[in-house]
Amino acid sequence: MNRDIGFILHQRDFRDTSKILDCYTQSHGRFRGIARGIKSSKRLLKQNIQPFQPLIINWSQKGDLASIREIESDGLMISLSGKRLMAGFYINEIILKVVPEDESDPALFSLYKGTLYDLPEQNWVSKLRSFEISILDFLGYLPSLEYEYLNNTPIETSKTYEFLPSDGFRESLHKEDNKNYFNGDLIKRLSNLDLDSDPSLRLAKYIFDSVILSQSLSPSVNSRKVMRQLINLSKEF
Amino acid sequence: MTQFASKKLNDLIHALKMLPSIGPKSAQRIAFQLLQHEKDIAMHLSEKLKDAVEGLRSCNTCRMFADEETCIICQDENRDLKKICIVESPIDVVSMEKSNAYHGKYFILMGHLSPIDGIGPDEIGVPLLESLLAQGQFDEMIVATSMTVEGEATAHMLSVLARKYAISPTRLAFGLPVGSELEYIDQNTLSRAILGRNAIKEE
Ligand SMILES: [Zn+2]
Repeated sequence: MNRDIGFILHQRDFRDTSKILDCYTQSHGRFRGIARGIKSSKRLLKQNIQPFQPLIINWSQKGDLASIREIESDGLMISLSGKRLMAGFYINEIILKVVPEDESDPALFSLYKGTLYDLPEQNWVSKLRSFEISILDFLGYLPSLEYEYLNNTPIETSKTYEFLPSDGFRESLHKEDNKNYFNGDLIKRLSNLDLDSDPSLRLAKYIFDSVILSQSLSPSVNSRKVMRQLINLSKEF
Repeated sequence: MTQFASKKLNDLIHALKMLPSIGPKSAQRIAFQLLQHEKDIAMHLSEKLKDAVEGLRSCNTCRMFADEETCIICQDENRDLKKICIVESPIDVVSMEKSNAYHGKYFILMGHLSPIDGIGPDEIGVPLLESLLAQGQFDEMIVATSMTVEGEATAHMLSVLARKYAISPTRLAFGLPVGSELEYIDQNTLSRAILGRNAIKEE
């Protein structure tokens, strides 16, 4: 029997009285399990089987699918609504899609957990972008933010750079007014995860999107597609 | 599963087992009971089942089960035509009706937003709902989606939609079950109930 603190990333009904749960735990990483008899079980209360609810999960592992025995609440649910809730789904989907199963990395777990707890805060957008950049770093896909990729020349604050998703930054002599060109100061600030201005947020998002696309890590992040539908919906008025 | 001499019998037991909350034991018992003692009931049941599956359609307006183009609720002019209640599934309409506290119209989403599964507004009939709201008859939208994070996301999206048409959005309260004692209430429910507390009315 395993016991660990964690969260549920996603759940779906399975037959009449069971649920398939994607769990993410501190010391055992991500795994998929089945919770049986959720209609009658006192060990698997529905109000605990929710994303964004800190949990203590007890399960046994035989074969591919874990058997989830008991789920205890480990504190108050993180209260999210509107765009912040959508961001929460998005973070869950990233972990679900890019973190390999059964690979444990407590630092990544604490990044995930920290980001969830930051979502109700004022600066949640910067925390979300910083989470994305850290995920790239964790996966080994984050290009250097300190040196140019061709010649390892340090990036300088006064220069302008072009970003190539699979390689990194390269100095650009023609300072075009193009969204793919960024100033060195911005890049250096991003390397310290200093994301307090709109241009840095834009750069962070640009790096994440283009790297994810170029690596075809996760060709369609569903929650982002839905988020876009929702944004369109609210833009109409 | 135990195999019996007849393939037809085995098939029936297998089909019954597909029903919600019917296990192999119950399926067996029901099959034997029907075939041995209640052939009339079995025949009647099979006809009704076929009629319902083949004849039922979904209401053009609210998507409830209907015999005709519009359902009985939508045809009823004595209801409060200024209120619309949004639910996730047809069975929720039955629950709302049983409460006897609501007499307005309904709209059934047939699901809820589930961003990770790629289920967005288009997948749960929001364009149809929007055309209904655009007709301008409603002044209140009562959101009765589940008290889950997906239900919350759905409720938020619906509130944005309602405001677009100057309809006031409300959501069923997060409250304590009638007859419950605080000691046995989980902390999330209690926390939401405190935040959503109501003024005690004067006589
Ligand atoms: Zn109807």
